[in-house]
Amino acid sequence: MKFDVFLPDSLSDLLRFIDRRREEVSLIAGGTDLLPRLMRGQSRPKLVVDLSNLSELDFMRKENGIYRIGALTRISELADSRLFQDTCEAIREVCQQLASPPIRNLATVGGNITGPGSFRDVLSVLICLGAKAVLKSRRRKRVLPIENLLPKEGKIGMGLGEILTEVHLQAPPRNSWSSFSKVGRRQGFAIPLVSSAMFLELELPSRRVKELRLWFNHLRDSIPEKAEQTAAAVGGELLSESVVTKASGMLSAELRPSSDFKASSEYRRRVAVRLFKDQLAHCAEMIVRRSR
Amino acid sequence: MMSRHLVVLNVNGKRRRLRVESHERLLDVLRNRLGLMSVKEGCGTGDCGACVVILNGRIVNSCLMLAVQARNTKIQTLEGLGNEKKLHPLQKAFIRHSAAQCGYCTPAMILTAKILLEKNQKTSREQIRNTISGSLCRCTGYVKIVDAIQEAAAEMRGETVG
Repeated sequence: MKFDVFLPDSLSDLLRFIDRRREEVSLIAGGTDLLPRLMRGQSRPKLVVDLSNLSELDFMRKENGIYRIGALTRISELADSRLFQDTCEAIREVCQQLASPPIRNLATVGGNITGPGSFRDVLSVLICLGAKAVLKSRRRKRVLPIENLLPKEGKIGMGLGEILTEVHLQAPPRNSWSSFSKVGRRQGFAIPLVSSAMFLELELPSRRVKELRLWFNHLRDSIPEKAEQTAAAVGGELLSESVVTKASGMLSAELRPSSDFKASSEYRRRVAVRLFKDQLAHCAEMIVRRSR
Repeated sequence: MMSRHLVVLNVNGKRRRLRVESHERLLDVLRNRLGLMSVKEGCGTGDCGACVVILNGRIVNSCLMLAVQARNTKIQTLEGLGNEKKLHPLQKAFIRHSAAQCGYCTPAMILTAKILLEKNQKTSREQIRNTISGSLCRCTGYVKIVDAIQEAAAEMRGETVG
């Protein structure tokens, strides 16, 4: 395992450097994705570019109703931040449950979104919340739905010479709540068997569903997927026990989880439905409580 | 673009200037170049947490960092915590409770607990268990480790223990 390392001093220095390279370079920030792959022989780069010194990509703030999260923001910084309290709780929840405390101190938001070996739970939440990705290269800047960065045939929607610099997130409407839940074989530091991200917006006081967005991860590999039919069926309905029961049945039919050595397809399906029911009740309760 | 880099590290209060290879991990430099043998290698992929050190006040897995990434940082290992004449309250409590059996996870457990107790000396057993969840212990079942951390917290609060 021998390679050279380039240490850019600034974002423009980095973009100039990767623009000149014809072949792909391995980027390292937190290292929680690349180092294990190097150890396992899954990656054999000749050149690694270290982003960890680019402080200009390490920030989080709210500007004009938009949350801006720099790609080098550590997961632990998001987990500890009060910026998203009572607005984007799912972000805090996913970051508080990701991996282990020392890994959260290293891992970055950008790595969870674009890292090839990442488990993508943060990405799943950001897609559910309708976030946008800001990509920069030497010549252009693009802003696109973060969903476009989901891997397709092993590739994500970024060009050579392009890097993710930040994530934009519109502050959610008042009568809405979001939540992240996961189930693993133990509580601490486990790769989930199923994880679920939910965004719910209600009309009050009727409790009619204005919008429901529902994403699951780890059902098949670690590529988040949408439960589109179930979410659409619940939209416009008054939240009641019969609606939840009907939606649970739909969800069970809609999901196509895989079986592997960690869990069977049927177990994953049942867990996903349980998470759905719990999260729907939790989000609705929090919306009503906050409106009082 | 270089294969060797001159880095400056502050390790356990001492300034160290080192020429490191691009591919060297922080773990390799601390153990093999600086002789800090409390920093253990277990899995080498961030899963076991035996390699945990304190970097700029936060616990990190030293197997997941290239040494060059640690340039200009402040690092603490167990060697920088206490000595035989004056043990840290955590070290004393780990001895009293026999919280180390094979000892492989002990340095990481103590450093992790140190950061926790610096923030909160009235911590619950559940908070302790969450905080140490990044370091695996295959001997103790964690009970003695949690007992020791609670006792160290009490001593740091000024209560009489032992």
